[in-house]
Formats: sequence, structure tokens, C-alpha cells
Amino acid sequence: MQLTSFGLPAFIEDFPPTSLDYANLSNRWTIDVNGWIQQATPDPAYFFYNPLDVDIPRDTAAALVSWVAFSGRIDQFYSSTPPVSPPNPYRLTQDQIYQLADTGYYIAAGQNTTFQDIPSQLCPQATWSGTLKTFGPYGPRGWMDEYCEWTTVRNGDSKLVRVDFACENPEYWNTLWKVSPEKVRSLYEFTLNAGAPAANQIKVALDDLVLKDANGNPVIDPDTGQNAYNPLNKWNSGPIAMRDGANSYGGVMHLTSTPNTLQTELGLAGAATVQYQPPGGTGNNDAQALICCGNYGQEYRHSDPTIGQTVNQVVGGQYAGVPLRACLANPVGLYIQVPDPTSFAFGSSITVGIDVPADAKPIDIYQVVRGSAVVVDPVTGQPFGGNMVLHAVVQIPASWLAMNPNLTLADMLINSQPIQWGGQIANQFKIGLYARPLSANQNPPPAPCSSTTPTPGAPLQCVWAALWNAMSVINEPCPTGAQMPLTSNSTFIAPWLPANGSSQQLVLTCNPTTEPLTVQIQLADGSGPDPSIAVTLNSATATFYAVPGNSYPGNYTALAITVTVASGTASGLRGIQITSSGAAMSLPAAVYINAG
Amino acid sequence: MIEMYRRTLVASLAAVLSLGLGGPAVLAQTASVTNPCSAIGVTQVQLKPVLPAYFSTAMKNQTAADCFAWQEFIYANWKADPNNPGLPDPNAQPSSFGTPNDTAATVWESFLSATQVFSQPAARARTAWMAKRPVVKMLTKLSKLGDAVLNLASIGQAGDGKWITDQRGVPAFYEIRLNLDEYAYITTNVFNGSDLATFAGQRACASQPGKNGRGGFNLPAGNASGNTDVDCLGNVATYGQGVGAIEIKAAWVALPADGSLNYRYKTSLAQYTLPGGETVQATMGLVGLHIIHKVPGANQFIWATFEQIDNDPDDNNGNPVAPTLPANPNRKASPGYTFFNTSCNPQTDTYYHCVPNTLPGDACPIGKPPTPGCFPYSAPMQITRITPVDSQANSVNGYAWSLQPADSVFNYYRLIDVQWPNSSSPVPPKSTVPLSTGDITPSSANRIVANTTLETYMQTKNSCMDCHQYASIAQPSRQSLVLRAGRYVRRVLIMGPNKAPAATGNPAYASDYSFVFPAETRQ
Repeated sequence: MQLTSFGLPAFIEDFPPTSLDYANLSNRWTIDVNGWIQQATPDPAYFFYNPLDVDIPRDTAAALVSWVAFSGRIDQFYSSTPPVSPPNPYRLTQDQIYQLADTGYYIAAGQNTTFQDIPSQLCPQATWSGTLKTFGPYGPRGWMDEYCEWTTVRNGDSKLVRVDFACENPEYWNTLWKVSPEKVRSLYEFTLNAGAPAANQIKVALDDLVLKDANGNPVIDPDTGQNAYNPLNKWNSGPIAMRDGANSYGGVMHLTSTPNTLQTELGLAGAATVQYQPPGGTGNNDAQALICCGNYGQEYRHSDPTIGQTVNQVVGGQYAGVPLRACLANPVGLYIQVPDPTSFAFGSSITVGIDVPADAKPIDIYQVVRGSAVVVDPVTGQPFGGNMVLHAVVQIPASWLAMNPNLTLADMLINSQPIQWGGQIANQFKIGLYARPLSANQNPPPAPCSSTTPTPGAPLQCVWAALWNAMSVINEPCPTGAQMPLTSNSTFIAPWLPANGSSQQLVLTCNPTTEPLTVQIQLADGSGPDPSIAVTLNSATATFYAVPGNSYPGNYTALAITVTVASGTASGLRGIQITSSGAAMSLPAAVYINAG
Repeated sequence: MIEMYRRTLVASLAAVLSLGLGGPAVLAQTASVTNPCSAIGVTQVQLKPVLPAYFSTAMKNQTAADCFAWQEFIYANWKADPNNPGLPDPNAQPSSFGTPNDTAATVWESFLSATQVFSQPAARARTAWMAKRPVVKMLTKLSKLGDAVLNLASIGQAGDGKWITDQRGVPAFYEIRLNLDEYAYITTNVFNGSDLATFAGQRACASQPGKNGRGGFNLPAGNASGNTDVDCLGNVATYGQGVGAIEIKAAWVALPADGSLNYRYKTSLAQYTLPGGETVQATMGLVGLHIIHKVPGANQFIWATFEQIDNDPDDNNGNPVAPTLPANPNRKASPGYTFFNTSCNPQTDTYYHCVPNTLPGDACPIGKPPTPGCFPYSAPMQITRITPVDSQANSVNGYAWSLQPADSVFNYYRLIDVQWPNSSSPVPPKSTVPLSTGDITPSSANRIVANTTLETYMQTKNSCMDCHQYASIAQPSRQSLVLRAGRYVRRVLIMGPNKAPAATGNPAYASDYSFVFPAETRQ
């Protein structure tokens, strides 16, 4: 089966499939995903395939890789019962852990306390006796770093009434906005109101979602000529959703923690195909040793070590018994796996038939709002071996509230405990992705551990200057007070450069260097510079931000460049290269040439 | 537009038939049994003596772990090679798997008993593996750790050291066996003449700094999947078959002398010793089996547990109901529960008043007049299963049964549950208790994993790892002989959290999750 385009996450149909908007979105999404796969492709490239370039046999099933949605790092760095050694000095109770995960704060000795410092050195294991650093990821809910973020709604008695869980990648919503801001607005409103009582319904205005500059003026997205999208807008920021008429704010529509991007997920998968040889003789059986060797993600997450080790074993042969090639299965995405219904129960305050309908089931409080529990894999014609839920809500159903309006989630049990925290629920389900292994005709070569030393001058990300300039002056809120600009929530969506001879202003970030640089756009085949595309380096300034996908901000260089694409240049993704000290370093699929 | 979750998944629950007491509920019969172990990389359950030897990332879900466990069960219960203890008989045919009344040793029964490993001088222990196994088992342990009573009070746990008694009035008996890999690790790591069956040997091993972060007290995981094992010093070493350490704990009951139930039990000839010293020869039936196995990718072990299906009903919040069992056309009707009387009368059950899972108090003294309030070993107990077997385990049970010969006794055994580490990592040298759990799954916050014949009284409190992370090497100062109900037991103190063992100069070095070491070490 030859793939010609990438499906939207969970094959969702936010537009009618026959509409022009759907076609436009599908086209943009295919360009996006194709570019990120190019960026993710390691050396050797053979073991990480691009689904657009290979024939996939009809019987090739996808494999679910899943991990617990609750933050493994919060458990590891703060819990009195961390999952793996070493223990931490904070030793929080389970209730404090849930407070921290739901709000960014916990009560200790009567004081509101936020994330305390954690070890700087995490390999071969966390070293608490060494230097400590501020907990990250930063941002308004950056700690939800397992590709799942949630917001809670509480009533006037502080009882939990609703939890929204989302695993949707930010890139999809940025792309959808480019096609139709109004569609984004209407989906926000529909999703965040789904099943909510009338008193908790919100109205989402288009202006709520628009990126504003320092003067409060809308920023124009050069891709569309329309207002740009603010990924950390009023309705998609922080862990709290207040529902109080005109004072309402908060919610979760897509991921915002800086490492929670689809581009990074693909990058992790690509990097993990390399057969690193960690010291100690444990092969790739020890996920911590492997991630320390491969440097492809954050240690102690539930997600990154699991994803990396799984991909590594798929390629290495430990997974299936023979070496395979790997890539994420179409539709590429991150997906909520539905929880075990037997974990849920009615509390003692609920009498079936009186407080809830006679046919009510405890699991009715779990509602799928976007995506689906069952999605058929077009490759095999069979359902995927897991779920493709994009947005789930846990709340008391309206039919129950009609019988007893006082019910809250505290009247329900999860593993015999009243539901008081969103984190209790997040501990019960998993987030997953689907990999599709293909047969390989060679054994993967062993590779030494990856270097942690950044290459000076290496290109990192290319963004429209208009967006960069506006986002770079906005600081993201964070419980620890750690500073980080909104550029950390920009994306790797390639700027669409018109092939009409006009000058376009971009910012290219790179690793700091003291050497002189030149910047060029590569030819379509990834070889040397394209002479028909002029690049002018206007300035180089220091910048501090988290490259999207990274867990922490760092010091980089922002190169302001002007790019002019000659008329007649063919459409397509292009890499960008920086030449420094005679060496060329490239970022594949950095821009998209739009011939119109 | 909201898709209610129940529309898609709860339908499967509707297939469960809820029956009353008296026999197992049966899932709706299906035309063919779906293989739940068919996903790529998942251990295939097959009627062959194949031992799964590593736990890849493909196994990191409950169904896959259940498949792994069932295949281990088949391997462990394959007829043993009479000439090679610990290995399956290559001539045994699948059609003979579980033939009723076959009392020949299975693979796990040909492992060496922990008592044999720990009760002999080091030099003799090194040759013990090849010693001929007795035809008649000697069963003396009335609790799973025999005469050792682990004092776990410091970690909020109680109940170990107690017995259970079946409806025929005979206590269950227990045995512990170790495979060749673990035996080899114990007997070949020798320090000044002391192997790891001794206090001194364990201390010397556990205090080694190791090399490259490996070594110390670290049982072998085997050499599958590119893994290399190391000795206490951290040097590369191979132990036994290179399949990883396996510990077996088994629970047995005496079957009716007329042999009427032999068709539904794995049987063994045994001489059991009652608390008063009376010995009885009987055909014993296996009622519970733990298999813990350390493999690459599961340094925190795979903890699998099985039971005979007639043991007890599900508790169902105090309203016992028959357990839900997948369909099996080869299964004959239940003769009743082994550890539960559906007609129990609280007026006549003067000891337990028919209250399920009641922890007995002090046992009545043997050969003396009963003391007030004592509990005789012969008083039958009411035992129920608090956490029902989940749907994943049942799906694998149904499939595994579909592979059995029609008359196999293993049509009457079911997987209860499996705990597996989601974040496996080797135990570093010089580790002290508590060890990390390796993100053990399911955690006790999700559900308790317990065998009703082996953790009868802990079903609401602890899963395997909740206790085993506190398993430490044996220290003489933590053992004492105490008189309990007229017989001596060895009281073994287990260090809990927030203790300061280092201050005593005797760090509570961990024994790699194994209670065999603190419980069995005597020298």
C-alpha cells in the first residue's frame, strides 16, 4: 500500500472530507508531517522509513506503544514512593503529589509550596548530592510532560466537577488555524462545553485566540495574511479551568508543555532507531541506561524512555525476534487510551435508580469528545490495537445531574477512592502512539553513545520573524517563576515562502558560535545551496528560549534573515544550511516553497 | 456528538453471566477462542516446553505479561527430564501435558528446594543439584516461608506465618524451589568459604562495590536479549542455563483418599507433617503456584501467580459469588470450593463465624488442653478472593485452556494476575531496602495482586512488590527463636522505611526482592 498523504490525527474530520477546507488542511498536514520525518531521520537512515516513500504490505499491523499519562518525573522527584531508585528528599504523600500535579502547588506545613529543585545530573541516575536546578519544563502547566495535559473545574465548594484531558499536538491546531480560525474557535467552544451544565458553558471569541504584540495589536501570520494563533490563549493555558460566567477562563485543547510536540515525538522515534551501546552490558534492556546513552529524551518520564526503548528494540530485533525498520503509523499522533472501566465505581452516596438512572454505569463519567475508541487501520482493514481518543472529559453526566444536581466527581470512586484530583484519573490510563514496523534486509550497526555537546552554529528552528518577534517578548507564567518566552511554544511548521521574488523575513535559531556564518537554502534533494533563492543574514542576536520539543530553555543565537525565492521555483520542502568554519550544517524541511 | 465510552467497550462486560453460589460463572461460549497473544513481539502461548527468557518492550502491557506468565506455567509444569533436573523431558508429548494421576515430577518440582540449598555446608550444596529427588515429597511448611515468621510490622503489614485450612480440615502445605540459575548464583559466589546460603556470604556479596554500576547482591537475569550477568564483584559471569533466576512457591492440599478429585489437580505423592508431628502420606493437589522470574527487561522480576479454580469464590464486597471463568468445554462441573463452604453456619463455625479471610489467632497448643480462644489447625476456613481476576487474564486463561488436552488437569488452573516492572533497571551494588519497585505494574494503587492460598490475609493491603522491596539479606541479629503455640518459630525482623540501619554498622542490604534469603538462612 502506497501512502500519498498523511491522515489527520485519529482520521478526525473537523471539516467534511469532501470540502476544500479539508483538502487544504490535509495538504498542509502532509507537508508538516513529511517535513518532521525528514528532520527526524538519523544516520543510518535505513531503519527509520518515511511512509510516503515505501510500499507497506497490507498485513503489516501497527504496534501500540503506551505509557501512563501521569507525570513519571513528578513521582520520581517528589513522591515518597518513587518508581525507581534513587529516592528523593521531598517524600511527598500521594495526596500532595496529586495537588502538585493538578495545580502546580501543594500544601506543606500549612504553606503553599511549588516544585522544588531537582538534580541537574540525571545519568546514569539522578544525583541528589550534586547540583540542583529549577524543575522543568517551565510554563503554565509544563510539568504535564507525558503528552497528556489536563484542566480541572471545581464548584463553589472546591469539589471536582470536571476534568478535561487532551493529547492533541499543538502543530495540528496551528495548522487548522491557518485553514480556518473560525473552525478553531467553534471547536474550542464545542469541546470545552461538551456535556457541561448550562451554568458552566463558555463563549469563546475569535479574539481570545489571537496572538497579540506588546501593544495588544493582533500579529499577522505571513503564511495566511490573517491574524496569527496564540497557542497559550485564554482557553488553553494552565491547569485550572474557572467556570464563573464572565470571569471564566482556562481549559485544555492541545498540548502546551514545551516537550509535548509531535515533531519531537517523531524526532525521538528516529533517534532511538540507532543501536546505541550503553555501558554496563545490559544491551537495550535497561531503558534508563539506553536513554542516557542515546540522549533522545528526558530521563524518568513514563514516555520518552519507553518510546525510545521500544523503537530501539523494534530495530534491534528484541521486540519481534528479527530486526525491523520503524516509523510511526499513519495517522501519526498521540492518543489517549481509555481506562479500565472496572477502576470506576459509585460512591456510597449514590443509590442507583435514585441518584443516577437505573442503567447507569460508573464508567459513564468518562466521555470521549474528540477522536474515537475504535479506529480502523486502512493498511490492515482491522481496528488498531488500541484507542485513538484525542480529548476526553470526566464529569457527571447530565442525566445523572437531572436526578441529583448535587453530585460531583467526589461521589464517584476510582480504585475505591473518591475522585478529588485529575491526577487520580491520569494515573489510570495511558497515552499511546502507534509504530508500524516493516521488514529489514540488513542488521542495524551498533553505534557509540550520542554526544551531549552541542555543535556550534548548528541550525535549530526556522520561524516567521513576525511571529518570533511578537512571541519573544511574552513571558510564560510558571509556578516556580522561571522565565521563558512564548517562542518556546512556536512550532516546526515550515514557513510557506512564495516563489514570486518577494522578500520574506525569517528568524533562524542556531547554537551559539563565535565563528562567522553564512545561511543558504538547500536544493530540493538536500544537496548544496539553491542559487535561485537568495538569503541575506541581517543580524545575529542572543536569545533564550526552549527550542520546541526541549524540556528546558537555553541560550541560542537568533539569526534574522531575508529570503527571496525566485519565480518559477518549484514547490516543496527545503532544508536550510549554515556554513561555519567551512562546515555545512543543515536543518531539513525548514521552509516550504509555495509556487502558488 | 459526545461518544459515551460505554457504547464501545462496556458491551464486553455484558457478556459476563452473573451466577450465584455453587459453581463458576461462565463467559458466553464463543465459536472459537481468540488468541490474545497474537500481537507482534508478545510471547506465544503454546503447548511446548518453551521458557520465555526476556521481557521486551512488546511485553509491557497486561495482556502480554499474562501471555508470558502462562507460557512459563506450561514450561514449569512440563514433565521433568529424569536425567537432567530442572529441564523438561524432551520425550514428553503435548498430549501428556497434565495427564491425571501423573505424579512424576514437573520441571519446577525438579528444581531444588530452598531448604536443601540453605541447610547444607557450602561444599555439599555445590553438588546438591544433581542429587536424585525423592519420589515422595516431604511437606512440613504450614506457611509459605515455613518456620520463619517475617516481622513486617514496621512496614504496616501483618499476617505472615499464619496457616489456612481447607474444608476437609487439613491445613495447606507449602514448598519453595529455586531453579538452577539461582542455585548456581548462590553456590558459586563464595567469600572465604561462605556461599550465599550463609549470613557471611550474603553480607560479603551485598557489600561489594561492583564495577560499572553492576554487581553486589544481584540475582542473574540470564543472557537473552544481549544481556550479560555479573557476579557479586561485577565480573561477567554465566549462571546455570542462562535463563534467569526463578523462584517457585507452591501450596498443596491433601486430596480425598478415594482419588475422586485427582482428575482436576496436579497431584504429587507426599508425606506431610502436621503441627503435632504426626506424618501422613497422601496424594496432594496443587492449589496455588507463584512463579517469579528475573529476565532481561524485568530486573524487578515478573511475578505470576496461579490457582486451582475450585479454591474459593469472589468476595464481591461480602456477598460471595462464583468466580467468572472463560468457557472451557473440557471442564467438568465444580465439586465445590476447597476453602469455602456455601452452607457455612455462623452458629456452628465457632472459630471463624463464617467471616471470610479471618486471620486466626494463636494456634491451639499441640498435645495439651486448648487455651481459651485458640484456633485449631483443623478448623476449616472461609476464604474468598477480594480482587476478581481481570478480563485480560481471563482472556489468556480461555486461550491457554483451549490448547490443553481434554483430560489435562491444567484445564482447572487459572492465571490470577501478573506484576511486571514498567521501568526495569538493575539493582545497583550495595543497595539497601527498600528497593525501588521498577514502577511495578499494576501497582497496589491500581489493584492488589494476591494468591488466596499464599497471601490470604493480605488481599486488601499489599501486592507482591509492596513487601518484597523490603527483602533484605539475612542477619543473625535479626533472627530469634520464639515459642508460639507450643512450637518454636524463627522470628525474622524485616527493616521498614525510615529506619537507620547504617547507624548500626549493619546496613540492611537488599536481597534482590527475595525473601528466601532472610527466611531460609540458618548458618
